[in-house]
Amino acid sequence: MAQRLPLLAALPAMVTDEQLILEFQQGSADAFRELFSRYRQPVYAFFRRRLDHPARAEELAQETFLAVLRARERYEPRATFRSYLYGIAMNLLHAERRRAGREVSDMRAADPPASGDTEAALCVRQAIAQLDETDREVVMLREFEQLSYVEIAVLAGIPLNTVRSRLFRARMRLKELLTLEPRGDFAPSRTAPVKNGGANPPLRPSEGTRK
Amino acid sequence: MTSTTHPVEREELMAYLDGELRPPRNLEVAAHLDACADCRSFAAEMEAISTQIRDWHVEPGSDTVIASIQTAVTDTATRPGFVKGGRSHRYLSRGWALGLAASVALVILVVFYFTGTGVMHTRVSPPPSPSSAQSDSFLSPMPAAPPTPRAERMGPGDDAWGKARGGNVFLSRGTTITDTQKAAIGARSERMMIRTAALQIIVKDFDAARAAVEVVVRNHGGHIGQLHTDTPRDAAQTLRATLRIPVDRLDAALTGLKQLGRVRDEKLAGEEVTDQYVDLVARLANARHTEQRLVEVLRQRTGKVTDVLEVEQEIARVREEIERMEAQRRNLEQRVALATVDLRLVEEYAAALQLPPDSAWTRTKNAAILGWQSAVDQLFGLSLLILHAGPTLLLWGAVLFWPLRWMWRRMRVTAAN
Repeated sequence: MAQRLPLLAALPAMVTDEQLILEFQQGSADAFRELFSRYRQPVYAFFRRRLDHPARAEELAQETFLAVLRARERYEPRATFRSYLYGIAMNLLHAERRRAGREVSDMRAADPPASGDTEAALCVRQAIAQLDETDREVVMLREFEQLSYVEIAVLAGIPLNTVRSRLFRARMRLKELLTLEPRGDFAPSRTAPVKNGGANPPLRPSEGTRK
Repeated sequence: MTSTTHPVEREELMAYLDGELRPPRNLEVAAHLDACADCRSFAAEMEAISTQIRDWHVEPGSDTVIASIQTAVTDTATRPGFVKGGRSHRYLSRGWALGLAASVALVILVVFYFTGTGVMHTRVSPPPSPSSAQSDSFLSPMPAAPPTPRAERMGPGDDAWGKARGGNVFLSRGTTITDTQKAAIGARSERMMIRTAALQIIVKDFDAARAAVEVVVRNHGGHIGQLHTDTPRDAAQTLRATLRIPVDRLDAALTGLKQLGRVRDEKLAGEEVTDQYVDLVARLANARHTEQRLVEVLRQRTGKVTDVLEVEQEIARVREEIERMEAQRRNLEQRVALATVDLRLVEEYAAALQLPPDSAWTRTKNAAILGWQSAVDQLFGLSLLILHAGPTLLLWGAVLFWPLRWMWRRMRVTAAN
């Protein structure tokens, strides 16, 4: 393994995730480090988009990688590493939501949007928040985590055809929301069609409290 | 969003753009897309939506995650047994290492022990005679003992087996090969078959046939194992014999026997025991080998008394086994070398029925007896009848007695008037 590392370092982009995890299973710590460097930000972003607290998102991202470290032998080549990794992340997310649901919320005092968030990001965030929960999850897994329909079906626990229809519905809805809302506007546009009835929805806390 | 004129649904187009359509549908959609401006515009919209969605970037996480993961990776990597299979294999490899070390230490100890004690057992004795190396029965596949240092020190008078067994010579050392074994070996070159035959012959002259059997058997090099004759005075005489005939002369012997009379029943059978024999011989060789090793151990060790006793017990057990297997082997060889014939001779016996004519007195006597018997039978029959009908008659008599009596009186009165 030591002899292969220089090659690995020279052409990191050509080695697939699956090769890396297999090398890691054989004992290569550097293979793991490479995987970590590839997925560190995406996993953190996964949690950050779905939870309110950045600190918590970091902790869970760390937990995800530690879980991969500890249970490396459980990875089997028939799944992509990405779906394996996000599967672990999804489990941690669900556990976190269950835990958060039981706690007195604290969750309501959600972090205000980080100052680094662009206005565009805010619009998208708000628009996505207005989607139905499953639709939201499906579109996020597709757009951000870039999982295939099959992987989304497995992770979300829904049939494949449902993934497609929900993704389509979510994108159509987002198209409405995003094209009608003028860019750079914090608050939801008054002209935006209101889903879920009632007055204009306030800036919602993140999905952690929605069921 | 279906249209009767539009062959591709929007949702399907979305799937195509996502790369999720299977061939050949994806090719069809691609072709349609080239031709349909409407769909191209929809495709552009979808692209724009995705781009917009992905505008939601997330700031990079802090370095604490990096640091902690790096530490964790390093920790994992430096732990022993970091191979596929994880934690359990770590501990397993530690166990393996310990086990290996223990085995090596044990081997070293054993080697030292034996070489150390061996130094004290140097002996000077004449070299083994050539015959002792060759006298192993060639029936046993065990090769002659190689000239180990121990073997060289054992002279002809130093037969460990012979000594321990009180001087009894073991079969595998210097025994002559009997004819039986030669016959078995001869048969063994192709295969080992135990042949048996059963013959039942009807003979006219019983005594002559019996003598002839003995002649036939002797002529063909066999012998009679068992013989039993049954000679009742006025019934067929029978002879039952078990003959042992060398297997190569069996057919000739059977032909000779069949000429003694009419063959009523004939049965031939062969049982193949090659595998059995070969297995037995192999096991014998192993057992002898074991015995030899045990004897060596006994000679070398000056250990505890309990150990010595144990070895001696083991030697005794192995020898018992060897004897048993030897007996089995001899038995097999015998049975292969000599076929067994189960012979039955039955005399052709016809009983003569000759009744002398009856005399006059006999006839008179017979008639009287028959007459008497007839009378008795009749009487008996009559009494049976009475017994049978009697109760019924009495019953009716009782019933009809008074009316009949009245009628009789009336008739008498009328007659008197």
